[in-house]
Amino acid sequence: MNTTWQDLRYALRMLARTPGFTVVAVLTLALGIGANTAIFTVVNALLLKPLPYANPERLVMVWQDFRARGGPADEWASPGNYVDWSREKSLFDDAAAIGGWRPTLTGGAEPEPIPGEQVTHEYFDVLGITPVLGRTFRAEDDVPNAARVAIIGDGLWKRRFGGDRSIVGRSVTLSGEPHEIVGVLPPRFRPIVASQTGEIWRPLRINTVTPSRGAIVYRVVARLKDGLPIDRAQEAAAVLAKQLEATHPEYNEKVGFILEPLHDRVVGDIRPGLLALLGAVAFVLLIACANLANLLLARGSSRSRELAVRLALGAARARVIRQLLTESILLAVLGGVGGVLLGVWAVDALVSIAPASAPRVGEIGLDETVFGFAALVTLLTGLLFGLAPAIQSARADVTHALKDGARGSVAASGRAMRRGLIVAEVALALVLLSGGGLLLQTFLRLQAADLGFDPRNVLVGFVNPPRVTYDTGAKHAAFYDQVYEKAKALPGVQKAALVSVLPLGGDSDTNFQIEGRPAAPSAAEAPVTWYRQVTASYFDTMGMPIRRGRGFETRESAPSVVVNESMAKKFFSGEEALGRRLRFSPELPWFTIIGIVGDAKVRGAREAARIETFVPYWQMPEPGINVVLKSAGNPALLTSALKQAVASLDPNVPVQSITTLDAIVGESIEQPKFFAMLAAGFSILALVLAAIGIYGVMAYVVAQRTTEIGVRMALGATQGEVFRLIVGDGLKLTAIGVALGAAGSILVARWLTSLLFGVTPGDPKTLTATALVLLLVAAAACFIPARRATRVDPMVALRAE
Amino acid sequence: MSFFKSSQPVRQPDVLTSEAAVAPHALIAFRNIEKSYAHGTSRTYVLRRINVDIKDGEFVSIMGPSGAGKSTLLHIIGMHDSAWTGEYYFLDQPVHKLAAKDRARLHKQHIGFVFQSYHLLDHLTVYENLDIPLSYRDIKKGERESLVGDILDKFSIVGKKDLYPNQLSGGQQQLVAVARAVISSPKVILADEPTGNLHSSQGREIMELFKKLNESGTTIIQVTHSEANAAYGSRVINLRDGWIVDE
Repeated sequence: MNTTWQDLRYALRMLARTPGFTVVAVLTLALGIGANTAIFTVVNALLLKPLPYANPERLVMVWQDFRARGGPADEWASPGNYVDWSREKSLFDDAAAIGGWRPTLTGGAEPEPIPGEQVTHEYFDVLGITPVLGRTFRAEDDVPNAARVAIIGDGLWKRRFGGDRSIVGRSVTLSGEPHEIVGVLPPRFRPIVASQTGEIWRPLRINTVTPSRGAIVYRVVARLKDGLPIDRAQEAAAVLAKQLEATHPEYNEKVGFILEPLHDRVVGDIRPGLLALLGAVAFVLLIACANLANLLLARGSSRSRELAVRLALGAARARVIRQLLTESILLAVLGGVGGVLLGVWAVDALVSIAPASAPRVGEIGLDETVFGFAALVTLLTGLLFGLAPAIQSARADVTHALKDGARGSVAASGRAMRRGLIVAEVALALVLLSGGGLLLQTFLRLQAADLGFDPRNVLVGFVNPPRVTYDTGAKHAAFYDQVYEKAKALPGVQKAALVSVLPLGGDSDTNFQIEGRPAAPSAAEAPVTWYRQVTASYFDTMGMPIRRGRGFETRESAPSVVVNESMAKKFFSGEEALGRRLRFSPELPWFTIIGIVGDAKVRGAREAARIETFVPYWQMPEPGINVVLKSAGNPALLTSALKQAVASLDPNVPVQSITTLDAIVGESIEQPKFFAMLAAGFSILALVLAAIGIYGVMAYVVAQRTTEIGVRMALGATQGEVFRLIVGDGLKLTAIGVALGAAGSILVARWLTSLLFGVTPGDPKTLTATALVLLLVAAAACFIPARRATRVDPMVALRAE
Repeated sequence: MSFFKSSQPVRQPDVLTSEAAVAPHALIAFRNIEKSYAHGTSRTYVLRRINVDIKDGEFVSIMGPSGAGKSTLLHIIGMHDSAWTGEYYFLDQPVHKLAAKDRARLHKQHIGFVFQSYHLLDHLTVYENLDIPLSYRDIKKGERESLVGDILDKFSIVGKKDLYPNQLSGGQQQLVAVARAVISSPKVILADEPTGNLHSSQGREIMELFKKLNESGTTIIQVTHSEANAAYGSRVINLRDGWIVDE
């Protein structure tokens, strides 16, 4: 203990004696540890922390697997399948169905759309949530014609009701219908579907006796039976799927069931990107460690006489190593403290730029796990950059070092290690740079991608008249007519349109049959198309070109559809699609194809165009429609005018989710943007650290080689030749690092495949460009030491003997 | 020869700045060469009014106590040092008027160096050390190989060509250093205490080598403290406090 204290005191004194070295070392470490702390904080909150539910590891989402029918693996559930699943008590303790709900709360200054969920009464029990006031739903709430009840979230309770504790029992009007508030949820409750903003819940009333099996409308969350491992549960679900396929072949043919851990669902596709960032900051820290190790080697070299004296005085080598390690760990601790402070700031910055779609952002914060991580990283860092130089320094030949203290025996023996460290940090920097380059290119290509529609200068807003008053399709259509007429007459509006579902705004698909072709033997075999109800002006407003035929007339009366190119190609290859007729169900009329419109990437640039059909909204009206306004200037300026126009038609119908189409497109690529920006930032940090490392080593090399340079000049070397010697030496090391880094980049980039778009993992252009950048930076880093070398006065250098 | 006869210069130059005063056949001619360092308002002189001619084929020893300016003089002759005043003619070319590039060319073409600490490059083999001066003279690889082969043979060090300096004795290292100095066939070899780090027998071998080189036409200028080494030469220049005190 005594000697440890002595080591520590001595280490402090050494660091204080060399403030320049100490500041550079602590800053380098703080950057490395800070970056790691910040990214780990995010990873911890998003990936590692358990979800805020009771025993969250047993919660699963239950999906219908439609892959065998050419559909997705995570299709929603039909009410019939949900009912069958929820009865499977050998598999689930409980299962709850969830449907979307966005009621309009009236009674305040203006109607407010509230994001929420409709859920079966099991929902809160499945999640293990207890309300802070009142109760959760009961079985009797789910019965058709039961009294309308609702549960509100903490945010809504405090915002609209001032946290009134007597709220339970009060009636509120939601989309024109009175609902009794029966409970208030705790502040940190996180809904399953309306994950970021959900604030209100009401019972989902499913007919459990003769449930519908054709409509696929609900998501299902379930709690696995206690003690049942997920793989066994999945096997049991497969057996159940076969049973239901046999019982309901018309709906369940080729439909499997998939159990997905809720945590995986919540984390979604952000995991690979976050893990890539964690890898990136680990690389940054390794580069920082390499720099530090090099600094310590250089210092060890200049301290060789001191160490030799210690050894000559009887110190064991282990004792000297311990002394040196104490210094490096002390440095690491100082860097770690700086890193955590930097990390706190960086976490705030990360949260502020995190994509809106990122899950669990509200849970990001420093906790004991993060501090433990930072402490561990600090300790490992101290050992990593300190151990090799300490061993190297303590290995010095005492006799030689004492005789040749000025130049130091460590100088020669540490040379290979120093050069090796530079090669390693260049290689790491190249891996980071090329990875960052790939992600940046991905983002730029996504941003520049042609989506098949023109999102510029377009304002959109959702209008959803309450079904209580607008209880028929005709009433909806009539209201939409008025909205459209008002909207297109607004000053500043160039074009206006209505559409049931916006691009990048969700799904709406249906089976269909082509006239003259045999009907599919079952639903499983029937072709599927996405469909949107639109105004005649939709294609023009969205900049979607009609390739053949025509668009809709303003009041097209004959049942008509426009299909996209993908649909025409897939179903009418080699035939004339125009004039052919489609039917969406036996109850509906045949719709004639009157036009073929260009494909639009409605799920974003990464996904291929879907099979799409467009129908005039007045021929198939549905609740809820989006208003699309194209303006000459800034479309956001139309916001209040649009609100007023709709309010003038019905003050109880708010315009929800008003935004620009550009913003929606921007949001769809927020995640790649986030990853690209951070990866680029870390790449630049790596580049700067590598440049500092190369500079430091080359400056040290020049100092060590002063005599040699003097000799070379005395033997006839010109300044240019000396300059080339030093720069060439630095570039040779860089080139070796680049070669190793290129191989590493190709290996590492494979892990990035799922994050890339429009660029391949081993993209030679990216690799070449980043390698050139690195070589240029290395050449620049060598420039000053090389210039210094050319100024070596051979007379002075040789006199030093 | 008397080093400590007087603290004052015994001979003042009578020719100061005339280019016409350069002696015929002088390989090296110094006229009124001075080197000094400024310290605030005062100035410390390292060399004062040096006037000396060295003819082609001479073997000159520069002697004097430590700090007399011997090595400085040698480095000025070797054109490493350009911060001096006066006139310096090398093969009738006015070095004092030459641009740095031309000086470097002149130095490269005609001057070889031998150092007290040998200064072989540690990470290069004997062969590579010998190749270094040639590589700075734009000589093609084939010719360089032939020249290095010749010199290895001439100095009987063929068997050591792949060894590194730390695998050689001091004498052997200095032998290689001399070989390195002569490989580019300089007109003059400048040697700064060439035997200072050697045993006497090794020192004698090196001095014999210089003598042979001199006999074959190479001008040798050495800085030495040793009367015995100076005896190998034909002329001694004594320096004291920057002045030539005796010749």
